[in-house]
Amino acid sequence: MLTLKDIHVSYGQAPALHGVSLEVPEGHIVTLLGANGSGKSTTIHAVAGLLPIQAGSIDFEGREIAGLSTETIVRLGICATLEGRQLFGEMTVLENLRLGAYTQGEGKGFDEQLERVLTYFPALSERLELSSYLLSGGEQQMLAIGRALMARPRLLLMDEPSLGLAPLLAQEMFAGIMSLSKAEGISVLLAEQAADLAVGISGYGYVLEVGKVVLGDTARNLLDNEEVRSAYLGH
Amino acid sequence: MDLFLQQLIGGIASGSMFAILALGIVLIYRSTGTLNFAQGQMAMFSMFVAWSAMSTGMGFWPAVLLTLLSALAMGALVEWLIVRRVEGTSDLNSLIVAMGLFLIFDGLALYIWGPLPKSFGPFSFFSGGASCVGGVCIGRLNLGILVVSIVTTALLYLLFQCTRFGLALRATALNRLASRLVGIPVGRMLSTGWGLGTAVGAIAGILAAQSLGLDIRTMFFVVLFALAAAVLGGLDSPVGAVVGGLIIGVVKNLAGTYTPSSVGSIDLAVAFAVIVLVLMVRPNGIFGRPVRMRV
Repeated sequence: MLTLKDIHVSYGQAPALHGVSLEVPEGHIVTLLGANGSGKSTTIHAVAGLLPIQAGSIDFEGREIAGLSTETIVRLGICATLEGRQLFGEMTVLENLRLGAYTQGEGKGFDEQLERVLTYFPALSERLELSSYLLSGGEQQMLAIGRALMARPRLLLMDEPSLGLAPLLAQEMFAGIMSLSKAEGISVLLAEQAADLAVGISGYGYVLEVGKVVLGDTARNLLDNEEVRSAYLGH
Repeated sequence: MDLFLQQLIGGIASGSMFAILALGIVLIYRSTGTLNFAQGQMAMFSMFVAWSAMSTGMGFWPAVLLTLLSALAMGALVEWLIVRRVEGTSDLNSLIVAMGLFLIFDGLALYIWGPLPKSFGPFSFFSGGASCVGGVCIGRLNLGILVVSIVTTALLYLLFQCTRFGLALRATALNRLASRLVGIPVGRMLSTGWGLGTAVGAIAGILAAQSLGLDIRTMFFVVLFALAAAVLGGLDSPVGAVVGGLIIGVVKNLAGTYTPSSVGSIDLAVAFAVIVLVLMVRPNGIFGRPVRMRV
């Protein structure tokens, strides 16, 4: 579904990604592992069209998307949630969700999609008129994911979704992502430091080191790999 | 008491003119973070466009419509051509751009229309007998200004609060990265913000011309009050711009009425003293958004 080939990105003079290649198969969850600064976030940003790409290609469902604007990429069916959640803090929960559906228009489909999204995050339905900065950290993360879902994506990009969440909450959230991906047939590419939970729900994983993929394998094999376990999975 | 009410109404009318121009300043500030000193001169330029249109024999309302459309395009073009180049570099650069815009529109108007004042209004909508309730009267000019200001504010409110497009405009002002994430064409929204701000400024200009006449300097004082109103209300708050404009108009009028005429233009000093006092208590303005962070 999504194939990155030899992606190069740099921030000013400093190269951030040199030659990242990876693949997200349809309907699967894929996790990017790696230390701080290894290029996980940069990869997510690059796919979402938030960074200029120097070289390489990104293929999404047979179409080249490297160099397209984020707006176009969203319309093609890729949505991202970023670190820090990037909500419209002063707006209500409902307004955030309406903006999530910006590329979809607000016809009859909107109400249907809203109802669907709220079945995944029932806590939000009681807070629709609340300013989103008043939500708890967990609820804010739900809203960030819910807002992305409003655009009916087929691929969801997630940068550090568990950041700032209590372990139990993080566990709940990953379980939620897994059931959501299954039920809606959404593929997921996620970058995560709390990697054991993430790999636990994934089909595949890639290990990044200083802007390069050094290992790519099924999640099962990664979990069995001593080196990966000690370096990234914390056991 | 009647004198007080009379002056209060006069203050509200002139204040609503400041408020409209301040609204334009706020729309532009929210769009690209530029404090647009050139707002007054861009409004003046639009007034001349209206004058030119009417001098070809066009009626008042069609000329106003044409002016608003051209102001919309002009503002959007300025954002796209100039402001976008320096955005996000430094506040100093955007300050210099605003000054440059001031000089460009000032010079352009002088070049096209010359230095002599033009006769521009008051038009029939703004002239005629006063309407009185009890002992308090409101002149046709003030009534016209009030009506136009209220309609303008109401339309903007509807646009921003009740339409999907307005929602996207507000979203862009709040968080650009998040706006890109949900697929809003951010660049187009920023141009629209400038266009709307410029068009609203043109309305304020046409209102100002009804009592001040039309020449290159018509808007000098008005824009000072409008900038003050925007700062007083909170630069990022449209509601603040309206409230700030009204406060300045009323305070200025009442101060002018109740101070002896021998002290001259003390009304200006009083108006600005009030602003300083308010800003000492609320540095972000009355409705200004304090910087809020939550990790």
